[in-house]
Amino acid sequence: MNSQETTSHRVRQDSGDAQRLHPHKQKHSWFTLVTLIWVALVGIGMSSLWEYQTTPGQTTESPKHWPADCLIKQNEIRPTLIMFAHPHCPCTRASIRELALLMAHCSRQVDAQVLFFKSSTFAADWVKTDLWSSAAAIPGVTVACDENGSEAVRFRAATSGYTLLYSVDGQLQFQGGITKSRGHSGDNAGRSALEAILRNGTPGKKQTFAFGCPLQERNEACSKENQSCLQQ
Amino acid sequence: MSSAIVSTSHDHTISQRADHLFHENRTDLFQRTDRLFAGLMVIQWLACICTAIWLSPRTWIGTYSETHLHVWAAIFLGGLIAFFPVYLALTRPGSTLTRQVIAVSQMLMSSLLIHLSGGRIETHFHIFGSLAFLAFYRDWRVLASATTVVVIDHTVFGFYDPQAIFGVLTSSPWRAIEHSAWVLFEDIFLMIAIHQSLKEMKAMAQQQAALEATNVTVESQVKSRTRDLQLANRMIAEKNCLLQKQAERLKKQTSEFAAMNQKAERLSAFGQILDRSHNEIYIFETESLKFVHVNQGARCNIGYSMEELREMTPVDIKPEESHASFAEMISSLLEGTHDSLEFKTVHHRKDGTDYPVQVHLETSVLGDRPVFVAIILDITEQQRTSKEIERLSRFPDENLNPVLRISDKGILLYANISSNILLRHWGIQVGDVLPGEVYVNCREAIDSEESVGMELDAEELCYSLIMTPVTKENYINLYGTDITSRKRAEAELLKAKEAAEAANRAKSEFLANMSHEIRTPMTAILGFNDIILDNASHPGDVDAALTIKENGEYLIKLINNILDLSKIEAEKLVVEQVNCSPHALIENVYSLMKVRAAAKGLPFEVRFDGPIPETICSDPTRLRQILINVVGNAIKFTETGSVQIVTRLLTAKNQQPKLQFDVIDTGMGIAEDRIDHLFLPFMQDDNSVTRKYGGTGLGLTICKRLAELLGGEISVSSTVGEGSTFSVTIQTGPLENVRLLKKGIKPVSETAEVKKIPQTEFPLENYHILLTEDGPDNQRLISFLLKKAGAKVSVADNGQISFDTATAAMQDGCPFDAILMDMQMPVLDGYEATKLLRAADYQGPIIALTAHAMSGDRQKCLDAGCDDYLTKPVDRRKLIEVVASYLSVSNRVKPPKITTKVKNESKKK
Repeated sequence: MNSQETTSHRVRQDSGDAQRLHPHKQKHSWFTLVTLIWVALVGIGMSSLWEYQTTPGQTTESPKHWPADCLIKQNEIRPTLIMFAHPHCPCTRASIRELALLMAHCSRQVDAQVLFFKSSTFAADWVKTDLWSSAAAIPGVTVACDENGSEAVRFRAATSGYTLLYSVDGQLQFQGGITKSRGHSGDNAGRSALEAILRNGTPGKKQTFAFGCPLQERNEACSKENQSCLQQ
Repeated sequence: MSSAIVSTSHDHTISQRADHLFHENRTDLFQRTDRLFAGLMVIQWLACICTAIWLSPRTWIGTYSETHLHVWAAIFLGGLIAFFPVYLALTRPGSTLTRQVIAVSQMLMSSLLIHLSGGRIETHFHIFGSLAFLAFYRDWRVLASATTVVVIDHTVFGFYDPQAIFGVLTSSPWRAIEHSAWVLFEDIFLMIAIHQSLKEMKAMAQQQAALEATNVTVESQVKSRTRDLQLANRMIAEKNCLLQKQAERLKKQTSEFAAMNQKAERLSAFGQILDRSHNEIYIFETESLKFVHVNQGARCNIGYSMEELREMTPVDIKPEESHASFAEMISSLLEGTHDSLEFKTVHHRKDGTDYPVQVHLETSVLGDRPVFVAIILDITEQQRTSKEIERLSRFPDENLNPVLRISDKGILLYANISSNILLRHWGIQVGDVLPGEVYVNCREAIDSEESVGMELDAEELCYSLIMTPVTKENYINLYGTDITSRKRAEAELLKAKEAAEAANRAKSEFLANMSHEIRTPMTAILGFNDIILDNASHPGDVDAALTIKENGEYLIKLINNILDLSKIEAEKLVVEQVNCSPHALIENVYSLMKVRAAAKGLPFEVRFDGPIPETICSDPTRLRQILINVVGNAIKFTETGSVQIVTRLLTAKNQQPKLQFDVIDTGMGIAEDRIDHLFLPFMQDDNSVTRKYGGTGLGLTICKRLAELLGGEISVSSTVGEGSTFSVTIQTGPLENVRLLKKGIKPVSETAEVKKIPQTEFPLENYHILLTEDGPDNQRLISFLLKKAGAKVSVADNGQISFDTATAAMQDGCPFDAILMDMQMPVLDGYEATKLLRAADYQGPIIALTAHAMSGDRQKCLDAGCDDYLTKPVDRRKLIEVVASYLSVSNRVKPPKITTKVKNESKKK
C-alpha cells in the first residue's frame, strides 16, 4: 500500500514536470543565450586587459656614445648602467625588482644609476616614493633626481623603466626595458641581454621594448615630430 | 514462492525510494554550493578591486596622472565575471547551467587576479583552491569545465606571452602540458573523492529508504500487537472483577469470624476480670445454700479457700443471721415475688474480724440448675470516708471568720455560722443573690482567674474579704477576716502622722523664722562690732570685739547648718543643675582654704589625676559647700604633714560619668568603728574632739546628704595616726561635646563671682542709694557702711514706702542709682516691691537683702526682678563691692549724677 502511494506520488510529479516542460525549455534556451553573451563580453574584457599590458612605451634611439654634456659621471673602470624611472609609476615596480635581480648577479661588473624624473613644479619629496626607497636599497645602485627630465631628454628616454648600458669607453651596448610587459616581473629578454653582456661580454639582444608610464607629457608638437623633439 | 515475490517487490520499492532520496540530497547539495559560491564571488570581486587600488591605483604621464586601467578592469570586468553566476545562483539554484557558469567564472576570476597582481606566481594557487571549492558540488562535469578554461587560457596566452603565464621567456608546448597536467593531477584526486562521496550518499539513501520501510513494518506490527494487548486486557479486567467479588465475600466472612473471636475473648476476659475483681461474688445453691463458686476477690477478703467454702453456707459468714432468718429473707426470691434483694450486713472473716458489706442478691441459673448470686460490696472504706466527710463538713462552721461560697451567677451557695453578721448586714440568706458591690468583685475574680480583695464595714465591724475563684467548678470561695482592730490602729497612726507632720511644719516654720529673727539682730551685732573693731585701739577692746565676731560667725554657721539639715530632712532642699567649671570651683576652694592651711603651717595642694571636663552640670554652690567643709575638717584635724585634693573623672562602662574629689590628710585618723558615726547628725569622733576642736557635728551629715542629692556619695578610709581620705563623688551630667582639660591651679580671688571694681577710698561717691529695711538697727548699720563708701542714702521702712519713694524720684527725673531691698518686711515685702518697681520701669540695680541663706531663696529673689543677692548678716566688704560693681557697670552706660533731692532721709535718721 505504501509503495503504491509512493508510485502514485511519483506519477503525479512526473505529470507535473511534463506540464512544465515547455516553458522550462524556453527559459533554458534564453539562459543559454545570455550565457553566451556573457562569455563574449568577458572575452572582450580580458583581451582589452591583455592588450594594455603588452603594449610597449614609445620607442626611441639613444646616443651611441656617452654625451659629452652629460651631467652624470661615467664610470671609467666598469660599464655604466642608467635606468630612467617615474617615481609614481606602478609598472616600474617590476623594473626595479628586475634591476635588483641583475645587480644580485653582476654588481661587481657594473656601475648602476637610477634617475627619477622630477618636475620643478613639485616639492622635493614628491620623488621620495617607495620606488626611490627600493632602488636606493639595492647594493651598488646610485639613485638621483632628474630635474625636469633633462637627462632623459639628453639620453632620449621616454618610458619609465627605460635602461641604457654604456661600456667603459662610452659605447652604447644596450637600450630598452627589462620587463616583458607592463608591471610583470620575471624572466625577460632585456635582463637576459644585460646579464650576457656583463658576464660574457657577448651582446645578445641590444634593444628591447620598454613597458611603463611615459616619463613626460607628450605635447602636440612632440607627438607630431616624435624623434626630433627628443633629439632637441 | 509468494514470499519471494513480496520480497522482490519490497526491494524494488526500497530501491526507488533510495534513488529518490539520493537525487533529493544531490539537488540540495547543488543549491547549497551555489549559494556558497554566490557569496564567494562577491568577496573575490571586492578582493580584486582592493588589490588593484592597492598595487596600481594610478597611471602617470610625466606630471599628469589618471586612474589605472587595472582599477577599472577590477570593477567592471570583475563585476561582469562575478554577478552573472551570482544571479544564476539566486534565481536558478541547483541547475546544471548555474554550476557550469560558476565553474567558468571561478577560473576567470583566477585569471583576472593573476593579471592584476602582475603575474605573481603565488596567485596561481588560486586556481587549485578554486578547483577544490568546485569539488563541493560532487559533480565531475564542473571540474571538467573549469579545467577546460584553465587549459585554454594556458594554451592561448602561453602561446602569445609565455612569460606572463609560465614566467619564462620562450613558449614551449611541454610547459603548457606540464601546467595542465598538474591541474589534471588535482582533478584526478578530486574526482576520486567525488566518486567516493557519491557512493556514500547512495549508500546513505539506501539505508534511509530501508529504515523508512522498516519503520512502516514496525508500526504495522505495533498496531497489531496493541490490538491483541487491548483484547487481553479486557479479559483480565473481567477476571479481576470476579476475583474481587470472591475476595469481598471472603473478607466479610473473615470479619464475622474476627467479631465472634473478639466476643469470645471479651467474655473470657470479662470472666477473668470478674474472678479477680475486689467485688465479692458468691454463687450458692438454692436448696442446700452451699457455695458453688466464690470469686478470688471474695476469697482473699474473707480468708477461706474455695475447698472450705464449698462446705459452707452464707449463714456461716454472717454472724447476725441465723438459718431461719436467712431462709425468711430469701423466701421472697424463691417465691418469685422479688427479682432481687438489697441489704446491708456484716461478714465474718476466717481470722475472726468483721467487716460491713452491702449485698445484692438475685436468682440465676448456672448450667441447668437454679442458684443464688450475691454481689458483695465491702463498705468499710465508704463508711470511713463518710465519717471523714462529715468531720470535714464541720470545719467551716468551726472557723471564727466568715467563709462563703457563691455561684458564678452571684447566688450564695453556702455560708458558715461566722458569716451571720455579714448576711445580716447584706440582708440575705443562702440561695439569695449577693449585693452588687460584692458580686462585681466576684465577677472580676472569675474573669481574671485571680483572687480579688475588698474591705467592708458591717455593723461596727470591718472585714477584709478575699474572693478566690474555683474556675473548674464555676464558683467563688469568699474568705472574710475581721480587721476591725487593725483599722482602728491605722486610724490612730494616721492621726499621729498628721500631728507629726503638723509639728514638723511648725518646726520648719519656726526654724525659718528663728533664722530670720536671729540673723537680723546678728547683722547689727556683727556690723557694729566690725565698726568697733575698726576703731578700737586698746588690746582688750580688740580681743573683746574679735571674740564677739568669732562667736557671732559661729552662731550664723550653726544656724545655717540647722536650717540646711531641717530642709534636707523635710526633703525640701532642691539642688540646681547648671553648667559650671570644676576647675574654677576647685581654684575657688583652694584660694579660700589655703589661707587656713597656711595659718597652721600645712602644705596644701590640688592635683588632677587625668583630664577633667571643662564644664559639668551640677550645683556649684552645694559642691563648693561640701568641699569647703571636708577640706576644712582635714585642715582642722591635721597638725603636721599635708592636705591635698586629688580630682579625677570616673567613666565606668554602663554608668553615668562622675567626678571624684579625694581630700587626703595626714591627721590623727579615725578609728574604724567610729567611721559610721561620722555622718550621723550631732555626732563627732568622740566628745573630746568637740571639746578640743569645736564644731556642730552637722557638717558631714549635711555633706553626705548634699552629695547624695548631687548623684554621688561620700566615703571615708582612714588609719588612726596616719591620716584619712574623704572621697566625694558627684554626677557630672552628660559629657558629649565637652572638652577634657588638664591644667594646674591658678589662685583666684575669693570673690570671683563679684565683678571687679575700682579700688578707691569712696567707691560709691556721688551715687544715691535707696535702702529698704524695716529694722532700725540694720538701717543705721547699712546706711553707715554705704555713706562711709561715699554714697548718699535714703531709707524706706517697708516695700510700699520704697516703691513710692523710688517712683516719685523717677517722676522727678532723679531716679535712685541703686536700691537695697530687704525681702522680709511688713506692709509690702521685698519680693512684691521689686516686682512693682520693675513693672514701673525702674532700670537701676535692685540688690536683695535677706536673712534666708538657702539657694532657693536666691533664685526666688532673682525671679522677683532683683539683680543680686546678699545675705544677712551683711559682710560689709562684700556689700560695698557688689553695689559698686553694679553701679560701675551702669556708670559705663550713663555718667553718674549727683542726687539733689532726698526724701525721708532726715526722718529715717
